[in-house]
Amino acid sequence: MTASAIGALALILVVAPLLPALAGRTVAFLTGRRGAPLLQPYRDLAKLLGKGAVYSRTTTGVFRLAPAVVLGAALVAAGLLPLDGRRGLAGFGGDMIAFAGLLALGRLLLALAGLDTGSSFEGMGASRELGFATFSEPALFLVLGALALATGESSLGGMLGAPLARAWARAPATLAMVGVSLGIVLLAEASRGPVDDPATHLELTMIHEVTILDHGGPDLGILLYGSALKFALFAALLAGTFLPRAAWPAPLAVAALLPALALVAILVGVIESAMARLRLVQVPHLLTGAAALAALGVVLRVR
Amino acid sequence: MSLILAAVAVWLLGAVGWALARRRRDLAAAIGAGAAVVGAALGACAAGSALSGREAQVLSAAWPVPFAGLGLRLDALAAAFLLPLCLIGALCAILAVPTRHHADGGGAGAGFAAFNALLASMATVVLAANLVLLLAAWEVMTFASYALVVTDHDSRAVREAGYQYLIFSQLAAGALLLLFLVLAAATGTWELAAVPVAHARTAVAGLFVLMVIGFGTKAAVVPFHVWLPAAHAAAPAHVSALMSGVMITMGFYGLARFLPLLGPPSPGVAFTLIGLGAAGALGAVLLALLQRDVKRVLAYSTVENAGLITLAMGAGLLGQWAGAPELAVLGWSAALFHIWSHSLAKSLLFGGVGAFAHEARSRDLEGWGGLLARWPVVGGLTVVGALAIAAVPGLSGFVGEWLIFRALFAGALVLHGVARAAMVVGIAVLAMTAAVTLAGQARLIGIGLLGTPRREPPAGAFRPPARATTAPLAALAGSCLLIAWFPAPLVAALAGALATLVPGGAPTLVVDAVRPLGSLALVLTGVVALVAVLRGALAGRGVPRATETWGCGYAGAPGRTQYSASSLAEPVRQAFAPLLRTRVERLGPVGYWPAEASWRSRTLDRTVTGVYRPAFGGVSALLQRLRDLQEPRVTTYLRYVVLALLVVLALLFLPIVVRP
Repeated sequence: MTASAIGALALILVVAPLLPALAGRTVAFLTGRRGAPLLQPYRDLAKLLGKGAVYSRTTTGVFRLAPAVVLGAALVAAGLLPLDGRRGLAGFGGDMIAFAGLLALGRLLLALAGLDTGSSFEGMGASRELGFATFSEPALFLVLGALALATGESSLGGMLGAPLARAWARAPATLAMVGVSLGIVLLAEASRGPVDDPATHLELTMIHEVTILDHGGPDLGILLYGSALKFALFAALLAGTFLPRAAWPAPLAVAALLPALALVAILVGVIESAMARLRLVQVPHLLTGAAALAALGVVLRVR
Repeated sequence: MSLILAAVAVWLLGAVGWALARRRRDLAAAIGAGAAVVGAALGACAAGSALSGREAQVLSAAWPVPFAGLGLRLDALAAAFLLPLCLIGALCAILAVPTRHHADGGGAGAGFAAFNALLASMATVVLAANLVLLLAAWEVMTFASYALVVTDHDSRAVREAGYQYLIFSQLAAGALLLLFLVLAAATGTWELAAVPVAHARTAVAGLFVLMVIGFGTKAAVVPFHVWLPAAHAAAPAHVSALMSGVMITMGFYGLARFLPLLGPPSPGVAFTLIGLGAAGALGAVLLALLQRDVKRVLAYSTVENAGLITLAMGAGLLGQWAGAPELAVLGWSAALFHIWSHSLAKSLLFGGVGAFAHEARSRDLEGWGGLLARWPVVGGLTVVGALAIAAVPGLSGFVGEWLIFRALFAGALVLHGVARAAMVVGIAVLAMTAAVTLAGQARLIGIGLLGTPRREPPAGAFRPPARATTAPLAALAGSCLLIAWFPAPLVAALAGALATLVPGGAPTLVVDAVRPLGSLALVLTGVVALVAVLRGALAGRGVPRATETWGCGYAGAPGRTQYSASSLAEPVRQAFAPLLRTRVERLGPVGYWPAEASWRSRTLDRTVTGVYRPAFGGVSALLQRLRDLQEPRVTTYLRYVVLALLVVLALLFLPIVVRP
């Protein structure tokens, strides 16, 4: 547990809500609009946390428990990630499996909370979220497998730490493919375009936004912050893959996180405004493509 | 040793004791359940002491059966299977008590007789040091469980399921008989050898196939799992819980005990297990996602977990073959750990879901909904079981799955070539399996227990649950949590068993590896609790308003307009359509004013439709031909007798005539 790890964790917890805003602002800029101010998410969060709660009579304790689990799991996952490009707050051998498991826990509770409302809107969102995970999960694990083979490590701290810089010299093709694949997984996991449309919760596009349709007040605030944090975690994972910072001085490695996250958010915004949202049946194809790319990266390391 | 003998004796007494109180159902149930619990307590003590003991406890006595001897041996491996047996056996016996009111005639007592006989026979299977005794106990186990499966034998579906179970069990028993004969011939003794005997390469392959068929059928290894979904759907809840939680582990006990007898592991054996396990797990979990019968959902989930355990065993063997100690130890301990965690979670889930199914008088998931609100305690415990099966962090299932992943990652790093590629493929398949499992459990809980009822439960259902229902479930849920929080002590306790499976392996490696997982689960629980408290403080400032679920202005939408279980699974089903070959019947809607429309899908197990049905059909057609030999006339049979006599005579005298 080092100062740099704590600093990086604090940084990402503070700036997480900025990322969706930055992506949205990029989309607005590219489509000739002005867009919401960057600090709007913080105002929204403050407003939501200050509101009273409204619950459907259909819902049970699962509905109330879900926001806590979603955010709690994301917070613990943040602790596992080597955000400072070194060891992370609490890394251990095999922590990448736990990282994926924690995000899966959040997804499960989100789906259960959606189904708890008894509404078909939420059911549809839950169904799609669970269905797409069937393809994004193998892609994520193939990415992790390729990273493990490229670096010879079996923990996030190793895969994204010092051995990564050497791996870039030895296996650049594998790591490049891993990066692209991870980027696609990010779009799906963070519910961004062209997989999901964060701006609407209309029937045709609804995935994440509609699953949380019945949540309001503090619950919605917690869920929105949780999903922003998930976006930030994947962005950090992506940034960490392309930018091995283990050899950098600690303050610089932590500070570099900020522009790296911003760059990922802007890229997501560019992709969202350059591409139409995919038809839902095509999303598995996209994710299978990501998995295939990572698998190719693995094949290059099989000998 | 005396403890475990006492346990078996108590169980056997319980099996016959019900006859004394046949007329008094409560007394019969008390005797039956009491014997099961007392026996289990004794057995658990014996297993607990043997788990840590280095020396095996041995007992042998003469038994006036040809070739047999009453050889019993309680070593660490046996204890590792005996302990969950006792624990879950006792809890399932308590779960059975409230069901005595709806068992027919003398059913309650007879049910407990079979239940106790099943416990005693499973314990004997684990303890047997003699092949004949093992086979005898194995058969008693099969027949006792058959009797339990057909408890509700008024229903035709139940009888058919039982018959199917019996056929598969007997085919498997045939394979075991053959296996034991060959082993006995090779060693020259009917004692269960502790050390491998050298076999020819082809003999090893043959023996391996016999083991996979013989033990794999009981363990529900794909493609020998077909009996399981039908039998589990037919059996009462506490029986499914015991069969799924404990009886299938007997198959894995057999594999763990006999695979080392094949000599040094070969890559063929390891890859076969890995392939069967991975393909079976993915196939079964997809079928679990598409079942409407809640107990079939759980049954296919059991098949999936059996696949995961098989995969882990294969990984362990691969590690032993390749001389990679880390992979070997991780693989085998993953298998052992997953057996434990799956046993606990699946009995919990079968117990909970079975109780709901009994109250709702229906096992059709599409008619469920909103049941958690009716029975919050049982519902909450069932949710814990579902989360454990879904293998999310914070519960026991995750530790087992994590160990399998960890083994595969370790294998990918140390192995080369095809083996390395196989490990990565295994990782991807396991990840997909995990995601579909998650979806399946979300569907079971989200559609079945949450939301609003799709069909009103019958009047008088869902009275406050009996304590005999909630207490065992609470104990199981508690153990799922405890194992997740403190996995290291359990792995350390399994070290003795691991040492018999991987001689020279270092179990401390795994103990150290899982220690962070315990901290992770505790931290996660703490953080979630913290956020929950914070949320509660924020949300609880005013009086929370209660209202309708938002429905675009429509209030009070009926329960049937909710998302259905089939529609929830549809994205996954469509993506895997070429593999699943679902039959979809679609009607309408037609025209501008559609009157009716329906959509129905049915996904069948392709091992049934593609393999077993044609195979059994072919055999049956062949046997039909033999009917032509039958004729209802005595003279025909006299002719057969004469013919047979002539053949025998010819065989007897031919050598004499031919001899110069």
